Amino acid sequence: MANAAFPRIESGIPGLDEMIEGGFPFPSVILVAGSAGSGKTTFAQKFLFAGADKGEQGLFFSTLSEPAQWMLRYAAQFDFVKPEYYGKEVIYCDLGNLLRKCTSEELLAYIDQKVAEVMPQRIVIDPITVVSSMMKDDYRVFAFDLTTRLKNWQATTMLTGEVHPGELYPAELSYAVDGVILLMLSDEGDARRKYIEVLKMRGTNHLTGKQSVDITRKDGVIVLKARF
Amino acid sequence: MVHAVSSILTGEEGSSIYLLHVKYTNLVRVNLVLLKALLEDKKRRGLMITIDRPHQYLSHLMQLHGVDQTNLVFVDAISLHSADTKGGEVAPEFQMGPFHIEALPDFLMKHEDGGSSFQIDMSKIDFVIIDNVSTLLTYNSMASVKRFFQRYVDVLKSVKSRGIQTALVMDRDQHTELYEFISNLSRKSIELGQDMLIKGVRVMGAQVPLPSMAVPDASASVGSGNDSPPILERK
Repeated sequence: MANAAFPRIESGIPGLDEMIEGGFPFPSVILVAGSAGSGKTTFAQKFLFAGADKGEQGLFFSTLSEPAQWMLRYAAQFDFVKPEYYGKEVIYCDLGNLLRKCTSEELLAYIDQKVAEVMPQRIVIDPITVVSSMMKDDYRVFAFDLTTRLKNWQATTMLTGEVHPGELYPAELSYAVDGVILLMLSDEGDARRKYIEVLKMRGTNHLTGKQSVDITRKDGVIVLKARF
Repeated sequence: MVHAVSSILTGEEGSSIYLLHVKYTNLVRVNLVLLKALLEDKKRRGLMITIDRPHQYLSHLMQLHGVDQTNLVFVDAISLHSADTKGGEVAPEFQMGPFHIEALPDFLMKHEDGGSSFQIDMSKIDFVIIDNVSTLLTYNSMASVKRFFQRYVDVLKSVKSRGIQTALVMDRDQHTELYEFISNLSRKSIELGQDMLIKGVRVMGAQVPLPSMAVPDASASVGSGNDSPPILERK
């Protein structure tokens, strides 16, 4: 009965929902952290397009990592990306120019306005970590206010976080978010393998430990549980 | 959908509860459609009780989508516990906690606040919307929520001067027991599909299938407020 009060939405990542009791809590804010090349943006794109397939509105905020123009060119290589969704079920919004000159309050107000306009059920901010280096104000306060507002807009939001070598996840954000998912690259002999780990998922009895993942043209990021 | 919903909700005399089943991801959208239908399409005056999120989010949505808020009173039952810094242009008339919800109907009828005394004149209210019913179970037991609705129905009966239409939106699949309980108190149960089309209307246990109706843009302007007397009176 307790779970009935906790609606969830499917992640869109094959194999992940079985690790987190059926999907991400709705609403919630999930941090997907990983180093360059670990699949964060692909993960986030699949999250939005899987929602669009179900009739859920998606909103993608890009910050200062990869302009939407180039991100979409690479994303077009994936079978799950449907160009007919662009500008409709999946809306892209570039925060790059605003980030260069705004305060945290102005940034929050802009995100508020865009979310109220689009009324998305799924939101992505990719990557959020770049904001910390540009904020003159208290980043932890910003992270708290951002995550509080995103949840009150009744959406599940995925924040992607870049990590430096030797770092697991951006610590300041991890306290404010409801879930932390790690995407990891590991040197193993001659190979560099990819793994996923659910580090935190509030209100969820989630699977712990690293699970092997692959990135395919058909599905994007997939969890390879069958190999264990 | 605005016109379709407003005709279903306002075609009856007397006070009634209308229960709308919708997938939980669409609760906000349907509430916005309801407000547009009742405030603008039907020129009604209403009471919005916010439990799921502070009132300023809905107020912001209404402002952005061109829904006039002149004839809407907010009762905010969660702001005090939300630690939310979002500003808003429309202040709630009442703030309270989300707990002990069974006391809300009497609270609405007569609220004493320190030296001030407020009373919502229910005779001037045309509709009530709760955002949203399912969230009541986060802060209250099932028995308490059921007592709330039973008392609420009694309050509705006591307001004889005019009918009050109550629209409740919830996901039947998330809270089947509560849905069935409220359904028995309702005049109509309306089912909306994932595509936001009206799939059917159950009237007093009878199933009345409807042809699917397309959903217009909720931001499309319909009209503005009127010169009705104020809902809230300061004693």
